[in-house]
Amino acid sequence: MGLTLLLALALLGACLSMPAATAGAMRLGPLALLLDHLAVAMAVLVAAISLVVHVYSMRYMADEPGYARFFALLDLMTADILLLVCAGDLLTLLLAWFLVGVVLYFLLGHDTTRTASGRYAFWTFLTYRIGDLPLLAAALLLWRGYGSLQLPELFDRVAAEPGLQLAGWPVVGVVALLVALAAFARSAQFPLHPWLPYSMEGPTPVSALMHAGIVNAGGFLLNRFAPLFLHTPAVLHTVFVVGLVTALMGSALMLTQNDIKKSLGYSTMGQMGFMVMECGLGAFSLAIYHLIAHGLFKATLFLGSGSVIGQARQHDGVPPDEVYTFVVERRPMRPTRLPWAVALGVTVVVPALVLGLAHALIAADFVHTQGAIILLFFGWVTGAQVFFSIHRLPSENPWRTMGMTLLSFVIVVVGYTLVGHLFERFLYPNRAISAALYAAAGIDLVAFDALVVLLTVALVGAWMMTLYADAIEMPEPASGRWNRVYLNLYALFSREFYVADVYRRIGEGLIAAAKRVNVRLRWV
Amino acid sequence: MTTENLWWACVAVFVPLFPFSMIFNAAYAVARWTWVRLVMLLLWPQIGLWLVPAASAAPEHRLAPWLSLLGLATGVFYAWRLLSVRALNVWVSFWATSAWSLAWAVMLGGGHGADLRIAMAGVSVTAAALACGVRALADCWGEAYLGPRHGLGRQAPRLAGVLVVGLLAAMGTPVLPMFFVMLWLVMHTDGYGVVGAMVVWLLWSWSAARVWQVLLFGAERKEAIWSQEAVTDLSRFSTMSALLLAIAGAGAAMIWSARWLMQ
Repeated sequence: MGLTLLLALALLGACLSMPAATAGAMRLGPLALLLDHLAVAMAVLVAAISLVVHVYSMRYMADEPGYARFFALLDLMTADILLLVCAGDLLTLLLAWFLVGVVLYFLLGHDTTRTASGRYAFWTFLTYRIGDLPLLAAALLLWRGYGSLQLPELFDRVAAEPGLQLAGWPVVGVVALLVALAAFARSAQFPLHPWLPYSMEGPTPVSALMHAGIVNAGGFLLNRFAPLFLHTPAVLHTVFVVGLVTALMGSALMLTQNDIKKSLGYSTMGQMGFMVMECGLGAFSLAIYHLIAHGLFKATLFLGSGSVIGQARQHDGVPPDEVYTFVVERRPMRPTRLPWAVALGVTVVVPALVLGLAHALIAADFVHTQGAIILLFFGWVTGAQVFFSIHRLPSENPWRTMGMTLLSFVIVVVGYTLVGHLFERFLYPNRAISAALYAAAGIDLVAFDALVVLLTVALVGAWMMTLYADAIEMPEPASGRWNRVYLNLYALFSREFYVADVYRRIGEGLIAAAKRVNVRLRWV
Repeated sequence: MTTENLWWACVAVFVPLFPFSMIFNAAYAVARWTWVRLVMLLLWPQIGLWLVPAASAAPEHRLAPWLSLLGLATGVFYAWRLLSVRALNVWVSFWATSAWSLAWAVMLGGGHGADLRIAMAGVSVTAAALACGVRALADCWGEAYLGPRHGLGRQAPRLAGVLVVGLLAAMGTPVLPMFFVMLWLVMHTDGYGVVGAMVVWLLWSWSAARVWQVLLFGAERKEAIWSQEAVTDLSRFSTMSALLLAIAGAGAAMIWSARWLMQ
């Protein structure tokens, strides 16, 4: 793995020393590898995370049965992802894309004594297969329409003839939609997300690899096919809406789950939503930066969880927080939270203030440009998520926490903007392409205003629900219609919007009907 | 009924088309000897394809388009029925029926040459390999019925491994032959054929994963623990032979697909 990382770094060095638009390619029959900036950046990320996971697993898995099998599968997965990110033709891409789901199944289900790990590995496998097939259809359409399997050649032909139709259907539009569907399944976008929060049943190193690397494949795929999205504004808008809904749902479910593992899973779902949303806004390079940053912090989080548990076992065991104070020391709890009205004000007023200042100080039409939309939807939703989190966590000095959060937020936004800009120059050196992507993803003023209103209503509604939840802890809880509304919402969130239940019902129904037909036809 | 229609009815028996497809499944269930089943799996579609020129020189001009849809429907129907199958012999025959019936979509598109024969041979070899694994499971468990039994992976890891590879092959995992067969099929059929083949592919994957889920996960067979009976695993030689067969199949499929992909 160390050698793989060194090789990836050497390729990155070679890429940086070459002229910006140059890409290396290797061909073997119909198969080809494409070593452009995107492939090399992803290869470095995958090799680095895989190296850390390998080193971690050597001790973590030492006492587990099937040690050799685990490492064989881990190596196979790493090789497969590297092949995926470096694929230069549709066949290699399909081979690698299909294999990821199969290898991941056996990694997640490593412990065969636990039925639960098998069950959730099965959910993951089936969702991945649902995502495999649209990519196959997309490849087929491209091959039929443009007569090539090689990606650079295909993109050149698409640029030359973007309006090509097959049987009355626009090839590029349908292909872009199919690619987006494949990315949605791989990156746990609503409603193809239920596998992700439950995939924690696998070994910790696999969770780290999956949440830090494998689940990002959707963002990579959207970037790989970015030249198609130049011609499909409607698909980009769909991608944006799906990403936004996923980000909101993932964030909401993360905040409402009591199970810490599921909460982490929904956190990843929310981040994947942000990543896809960025693509939908035309900020493709920002999505890659996002997935790298998310991959690194999520891997650290997962791999560090073991040592946190170990430390907790070695020391006192119960941290001296308010629960400890209340239960052990028998002293009354004194929760100190950030006042909800202040948090609401900050989450609603600050973005409006930022946009207003930008409107007044930078340019009158700034609020209509993609930069503003990205800032609004990425920054706003993320910021609101942080404020909901800190409101939930009691603190000794909530005002200090809020101040530090605001400061961190400013640093993150500024850092994001700067690094995102640098990344854009690295991944899309041709400024015309990135400008065309932003133009294709652009939305008009009415849609922009409608989204602002919708998001404001959603955030205010969420804060109202939080206030209500605080209120019902009082001696005289509210009753009547609002209580019913609250209880229904509570059930909706605690059952995770019933998505998994709906799938289970459909699956059971199909199997039961097949059984009845088989019995009727005497199994022939 | 004209002679030509009679010929086509014969073709529909051997390249399964519902309800003629029931003949193969009934015959497969009746055949008790493994070698008879293997011969059936290997020869059945080839007989059908051999009959096609006798029925018509250019089937794409003679056949009604709805036959293509019926072929796809047969494939989807048997793939869907696979979901509830617990007896693995029935699983193999349903899976083969589902895969062979996709040939109708290709025949209606004008593809009835050597490549279609090779594609169907790929299906047959995969089904035959799986049938051999099922036979070994029957030797191990006394019957190849999943029912409440779980955990073969810990009792007989080599046999479980071979069966899982067989199921992976059946659901079209790269780089095993069925992946390339399915690629060839979708590349040589129309839009309906592509959609039908994808639904079939998804249902196969679902069904195969349900089977190996039972084989690999959960508690070991209780009867085996109670009676302390020894469960026979596959010999190393058989395991290596199965692996070599898989590698050879993958190699042959890659060479074949490289030929038509490069054209």
